[in-house]
Amino acid sequence: MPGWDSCALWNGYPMKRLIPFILFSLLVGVVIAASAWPLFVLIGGVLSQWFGEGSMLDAINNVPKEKVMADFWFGYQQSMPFAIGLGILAALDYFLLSQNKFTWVIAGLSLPLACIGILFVFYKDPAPLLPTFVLTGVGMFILYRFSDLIRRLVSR
Amino acid sequence: MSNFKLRYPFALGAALCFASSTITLADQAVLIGGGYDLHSTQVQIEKNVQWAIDSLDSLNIPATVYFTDGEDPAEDVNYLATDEEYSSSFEAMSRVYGDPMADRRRFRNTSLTNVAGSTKADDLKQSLAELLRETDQSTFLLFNGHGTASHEAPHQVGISLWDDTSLKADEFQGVVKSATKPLRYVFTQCYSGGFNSAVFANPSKGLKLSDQQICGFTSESPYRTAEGCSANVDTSDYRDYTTYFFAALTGYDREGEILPRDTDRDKDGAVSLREAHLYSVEAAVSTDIAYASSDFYLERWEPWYLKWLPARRELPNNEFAKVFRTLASKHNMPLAGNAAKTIRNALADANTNWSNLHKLHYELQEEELTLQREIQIAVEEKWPALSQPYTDAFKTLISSDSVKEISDWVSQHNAYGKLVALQTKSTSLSNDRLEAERYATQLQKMLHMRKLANLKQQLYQYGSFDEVAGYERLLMCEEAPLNP
Repeated sequence: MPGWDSCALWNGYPMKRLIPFILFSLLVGVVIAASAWPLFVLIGGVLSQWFGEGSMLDAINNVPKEKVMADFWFGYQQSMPFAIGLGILAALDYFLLSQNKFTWVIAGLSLPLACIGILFVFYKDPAPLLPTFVLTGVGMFILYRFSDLIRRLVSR
Repeated sequence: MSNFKLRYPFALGAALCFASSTITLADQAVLIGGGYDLHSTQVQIEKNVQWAIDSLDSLNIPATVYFTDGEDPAEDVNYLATDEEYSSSFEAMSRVYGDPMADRRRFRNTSLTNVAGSTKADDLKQSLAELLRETDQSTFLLFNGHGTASHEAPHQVGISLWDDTSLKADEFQGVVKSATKPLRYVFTQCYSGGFNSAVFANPSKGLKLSDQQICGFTSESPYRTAEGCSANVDTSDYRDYTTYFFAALTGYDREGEILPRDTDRDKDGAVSLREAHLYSVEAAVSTDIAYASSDFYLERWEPWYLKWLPARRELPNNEFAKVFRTLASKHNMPLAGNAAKTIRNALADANTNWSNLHKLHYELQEEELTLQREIQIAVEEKWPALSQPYTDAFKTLISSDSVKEISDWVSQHNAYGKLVALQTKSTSLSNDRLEAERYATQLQKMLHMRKLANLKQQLYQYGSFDEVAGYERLLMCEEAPLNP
């Protein structure tokens, strides 16, 4: 007698494979949440270097490394609510959009959009900061797509 | 600024009320100076204290002075003899066994008069606490001497005091808690920026200001060494923070020449401490990046969500931007466009130049040591007692006339001429290295001013009412002049 999982479908997808897929979506969410702050700092650093201006550059040159690291960890903790929000968004996006060949095209794009949203909601002078937030979002998008690529390669 | 005032008129009002007593009370000055022993009390420290006494005297501000061992007549200051004082009979020996300047080193008791007491930490803490508790005047406190670092926390930096004692920034805050009237300080030692943490209720964290009215200025950040501990008696060479700060207050430099420009920036008829500080930042071509307590407050305030972002390229128009403009014009740096990038590239070049000079200097010193050793071996073959100091033979040798004979013999040695040339080159390289460091600091100062200009604007954009009021309170305290 066939089990429920062999015939039930979700989004054209056999239920038997749904649980690993949900777990992988959650993993994508965790990856995005964990990497949001380091990506933000990395992009901020690269752009600061590019423009030649930013507190981070002065800190790296003039402040002990321990203090810079302590500030980094403090930022990591403080940014957690945003990072978790982005992680949940990434998991949902992946779960809902990544399996369909039409929606796959736009899958992950919610991340840069969410970053731009955060910028415009929480920052009072958003325009000069736009490149940092867009590029952070793009960075997360690349991570998201890279995770997807890995999963597809592994599942082949 | 104007945006802020519209948004936070009450913050400005609250700060004004709090700072009003700073502005109206007469000031007394407390001047603390000296190193932790005779060898660390260079004459520049003593001359700076004297310069401060004279400057304050011209402003009719009485000063109480604490210096090294107090009124003990023992030697407590070291200096280098001038050409007039110097007789070079042992020059050759000092070149071979020490450094070219060793023979010029002299010691004496301080020439400061009316020294109120010693700077031993316990004595000083007690005297300061009493003085601050009992006075009905606001206090201006100046320290000239040496500092100790703390890479763990800025509030753990310290000042080195007489007899190898010390006072840390958080201990200082404990002492000034006894103050019933406003206190303004100037710390000029290495790592002095850490003393700005004394303005906070909790020196280690948070933005809540101390209940005491306290603010001030430091010659450096908590992480950098300061300029200004020379044994050279020529004051025209001095480029330390004290030199510029008091010149701005009085309008005259140390040579008695009138300053090239008016230091009263707001033209209100009195030079405030903050105006003196900003003049020092602009005018000093030294290795110092000076801080006001309000600058330190801005840096401590900088929130995590702004700290890691690139700064905006268009500078807001505030006093920091004005200082930046002056510095940039002085050093032929662009004011707009890619200004920061250009300055940072110039800084990288300056740092490379400094590193090359440092390497060259190090190699030269190695060569110098080899030559010194070669001559030492030759001398000790002829006068073996020289290789055994603290023996009777050595004592007999140096108490006889032989030292002059040895010195003459050394100066005839065929490697001696080369050693002199090397040491001259080494001194010259050392000066070049200092100049390279000073130039690099000017570039860093420009970037620092740009950072503060942006931070100040961000505080007004993102800061809470209390945060802005705290900043304004410090500004009010700093902006008051010294009152006779």
